Amino acid sequence: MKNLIFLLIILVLLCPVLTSAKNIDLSTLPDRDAVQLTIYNAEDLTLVRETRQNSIKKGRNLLQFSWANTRIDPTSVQLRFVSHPGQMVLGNNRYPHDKPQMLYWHIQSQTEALATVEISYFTSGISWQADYTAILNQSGNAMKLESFVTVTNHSGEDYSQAEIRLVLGEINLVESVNALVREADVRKEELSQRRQVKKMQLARQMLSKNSGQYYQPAPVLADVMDSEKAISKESISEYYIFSIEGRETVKNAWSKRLRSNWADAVAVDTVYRYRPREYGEQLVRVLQLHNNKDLKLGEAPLPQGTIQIYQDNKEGSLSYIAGLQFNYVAIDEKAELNTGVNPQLFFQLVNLKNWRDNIWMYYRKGKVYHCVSDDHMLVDHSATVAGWDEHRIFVQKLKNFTGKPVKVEIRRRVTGDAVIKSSLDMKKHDFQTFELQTVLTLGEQQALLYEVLIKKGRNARQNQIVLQKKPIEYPVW
Amino acid sequence: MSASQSGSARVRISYAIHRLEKQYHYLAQVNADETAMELFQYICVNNQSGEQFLNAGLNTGNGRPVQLSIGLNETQEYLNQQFSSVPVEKTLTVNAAAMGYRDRSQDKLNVLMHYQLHNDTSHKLGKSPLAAGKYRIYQQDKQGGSVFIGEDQGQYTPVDDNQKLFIGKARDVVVRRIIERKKRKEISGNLYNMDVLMKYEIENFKDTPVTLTIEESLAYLKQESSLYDSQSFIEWQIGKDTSFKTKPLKEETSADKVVYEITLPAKSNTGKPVKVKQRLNILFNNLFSSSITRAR
Repeated sequence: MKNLIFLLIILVLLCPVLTSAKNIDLSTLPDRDAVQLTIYNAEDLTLVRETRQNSIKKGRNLLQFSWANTRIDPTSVQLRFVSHPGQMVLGNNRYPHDKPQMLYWHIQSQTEALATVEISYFTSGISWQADYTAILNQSGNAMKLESFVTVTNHSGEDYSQAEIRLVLGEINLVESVNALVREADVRKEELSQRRQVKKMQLARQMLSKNSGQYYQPAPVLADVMDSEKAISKESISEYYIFSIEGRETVKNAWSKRLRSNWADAVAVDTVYRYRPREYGEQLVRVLQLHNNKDLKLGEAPLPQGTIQIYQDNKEGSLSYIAGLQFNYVAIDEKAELNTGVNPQLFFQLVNLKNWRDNIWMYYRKGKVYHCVSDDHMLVDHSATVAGWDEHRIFVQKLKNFTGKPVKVEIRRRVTGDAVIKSSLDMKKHDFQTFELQTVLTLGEQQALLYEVLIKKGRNARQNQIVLQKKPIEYPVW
Repeated sequence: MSASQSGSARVRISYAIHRLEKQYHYLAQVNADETAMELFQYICVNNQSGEQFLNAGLNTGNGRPVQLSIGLNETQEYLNQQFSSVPVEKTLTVNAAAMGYRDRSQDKLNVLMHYQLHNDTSHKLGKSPLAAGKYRIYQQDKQGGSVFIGEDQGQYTPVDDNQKLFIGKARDVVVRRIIERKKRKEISGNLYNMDVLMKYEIENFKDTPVTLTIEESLAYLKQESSLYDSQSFIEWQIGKDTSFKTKPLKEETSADKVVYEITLPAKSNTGKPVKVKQRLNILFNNLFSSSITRAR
């Protein structure tokens, strides 16, 4: 209630002329009965819904709403009567030209009563973020996973004892609330300038009081985990709503961190991957966990956020593994965490040997093609190579120094009309990419051999790879 | 927090902090005949975090855990591990492309000296991985003192893996590299092969035999031989005029590099070194310029 001022101006219109100031009955509203914040994390948007008890008189009433120095979207402000259905009617809204950040609701009432009204509006400046702390066990096959949500309020308004709901999903907005607030600010500035000119003419000494500067205390993280609070989750349309049990006070310029979930032994699978398009030219360690009930999760999606990963070590302390961005994980979906290169797993890609064959020459004089190896070679200095096959033998060298068996997945992309030959079990990922999988036991070394044949020039007929099972010999020079 | 009963409780608060850093460095004392070394691993902790830590347990995962009190902006160093009589293997290597020439006008190659450590128990190491860090290497002199002979930035070395440290350049082994022959063999039109013969003249001025590794970059040799095949693809084979008695090293040789190893005898009783001559014959096959595709 620091900045947001609600004034109910009950104006019983005993006479038809509204503008007479002596007929306006001004009163300040009591505190909010209840307030609910629905915070969207994909956009800078919060739906505020509050209820109040207001005295409404029979006849015409005027209700004033002001949002000075807040980040409320003025186009979104709405009023609804919760009590006395059909007895009170909301007429038009009026935005006075001379008073920025203010509106009047015109209400026609058939009765005099203490009415419950709901005022709702969008505001920007309130956000929530998820963060996670994961502690892997020593063997690396399970982790303790603790998740938190942090609500941060920079809206310019304190919200006491608010019911908080967090929306997980991507909504579409035509205009951001921030932009709308800025528009309102511009209008406010214009009006302010006009008013100041008037005032300069009337009373120059009043100008100094209109500075418009407000002190904003530095954000402070109220890092208090309230383990008694439960966060219930429900789905709605394509979104999820996390409702925090009970009520929370979220002051302006403060953050509040709440524990969202706790899982003691989430099963984790580790796989090492070489996928240049995803992870660059390196073999990375990827931790995989399933967001399902069998693995102690799966009650709700895991929101996007940051995750800090530690591992228990033999000495009873923690080793820091990585700090990462954690992407949204749906129920039953698999989460993957790229924790980077493990120097204890040696990985090297070596091009062992190259050669060309099936070379076709184009003879300009006769306009004919001949293969270099056939018996129809002609002596013609103007002949040019028109097509050929390129063979390359590669080896992926692996040495496992990690002290435990590891799974390795290798994915390589080859462009053009290509044949991949190997005795290894390969599979096609897409038309240009093949995949190899292997398991290295403790201390094992492996050399994965394969040949890539690419048809060039006139020899190329397709633009895709073909896999061929064929033993490849390690080259001897 | 909520508790079922009141009382004192031991809790662990963990957090990540920036600018509290550690670095490894090593000090090695090699014996006179360069066959073994005393190796000391040090850890240097630098605290710029803005927080002081009293009696903090510091455990790096290898070596010994220590109790350390470290104040603001303070740096402390301590001996973490020590290894005695670690066998060391000294190697000499030439590679015209990667290591260049000592004297280009005389075709003399740089000869690089390396020490190789094996991080396993049979080589008195292998208790834990060796962290990356600077190695400073000293050698005992005849007066019982020690002389600094070089340093290198060592890479992280897992257990059972090798560490190769570049110490400096050897002057007592002279290697001359000369391209003796460069012969083009036409196949048809713009398609041809190239026959390149290289000669190595090697002299060992030391009193002891040494092993020399000769590395030849095929991409560099192709460029040196003015072969303007526009493709990065290199097709090569070893020609019949090669004089090396052994085959190229299987693990080190690839499509881009051929590697041989030879043992050089010590200099003779008369004080003259034995001049060893070796020839390497490389055939670059199926070369052509990029104009070929226009023929389609």
